[in-house]
Amino acid sequence: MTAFDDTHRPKALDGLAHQEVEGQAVIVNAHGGEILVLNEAGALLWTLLDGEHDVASLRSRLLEEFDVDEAQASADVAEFLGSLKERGALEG
Amino acid sequence: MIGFGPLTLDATGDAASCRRLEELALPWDEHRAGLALRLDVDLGGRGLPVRPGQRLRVDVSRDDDGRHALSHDFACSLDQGGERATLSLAELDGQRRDDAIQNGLRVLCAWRLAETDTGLLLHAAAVTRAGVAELLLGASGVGKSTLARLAAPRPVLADDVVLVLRRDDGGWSTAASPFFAEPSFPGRSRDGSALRCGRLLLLEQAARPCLSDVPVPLRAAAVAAHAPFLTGVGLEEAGLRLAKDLVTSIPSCRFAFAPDASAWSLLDPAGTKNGSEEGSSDTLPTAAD
Repeated sequence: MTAFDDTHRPKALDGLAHQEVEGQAVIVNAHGGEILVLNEAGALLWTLLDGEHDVASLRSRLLEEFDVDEAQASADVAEFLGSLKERGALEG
Repeated sequence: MIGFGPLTLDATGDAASCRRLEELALPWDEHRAGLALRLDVDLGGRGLPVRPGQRLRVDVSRDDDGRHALSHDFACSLDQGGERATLSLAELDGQRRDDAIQNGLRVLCAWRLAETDTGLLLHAAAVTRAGVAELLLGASGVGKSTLARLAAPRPVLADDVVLVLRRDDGGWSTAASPFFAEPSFPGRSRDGSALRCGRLLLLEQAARPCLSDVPVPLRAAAVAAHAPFLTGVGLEEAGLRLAKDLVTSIPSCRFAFAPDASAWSLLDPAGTKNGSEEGSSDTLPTAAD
């Protein structure tokens, strides 16, 4: 799994289409054509992938919005970002 | 003007090409506004950037001039305004030429439907059941065509590509793909009529048939995944929006089926005659809406 420093500011790749559907997010990667479905936590994190929010703030938002502890939130954010990175959906 | 389903073409080009388009035309309701296109057409295979002999694949791209598609047997483009198009073919004869025409028109149709938020061209089959159309959606090889053929005596609208179009009342209509080269099925209408879209079935094969619920986001993703030619030409967002609206407007479920004569028994309530009553022809939404 890719490690992401707390100060890293992930940014979704340009050209990814996004629709919120019943609290979840459906993403189309225009570059590869892959379609991703994100659960509610993923949909929330997706809105923060603007290059402005760092990894620590993503974790904080998960802690605010979902009933998870810090260790779980850290793991979820890392897994989420790692998965997007593998799919070529993140810049950098 | 030449009608091909929702497309209304003002064709320019050599006389033979325009004449062949007119011969193949299959317009829908003439009183209904279509997606008008000025189409510069060359079916003669003269100096075209197409790739005869390669396997069927359509590469799409976008630049400052508009959207472009290139396949083994056709090339087409649509300008930024969405009103002027070109269609050129490789040097082909007979049915292969007509198939190539249809393939090119399908791409143009998919683009125009999406950019006008009018509808989607879907890689799917559609069967008439109890007066409405049921969409059969699934990965290549899952058995869409097989299931469609097992649907007899239900009329089959299409076994490969269908159009789903917004209706004025918030529902959706289903029509056979453009426009003229689909295989013939018993009961298939060739008058371009459309039926109300009654249900979307997401197909998978299984030893024991069953119907099960599918979360709405996954339904939307499935529909978007089967809407070809939109990715890479700036129509991803439009396709997703249409997919979302479709799956939130009509009932949808997963249909696991065994590809045999029993497949449809699960879908037909006891006492109905295999859902085979005549489908009532419906009018299409105004494409320009």
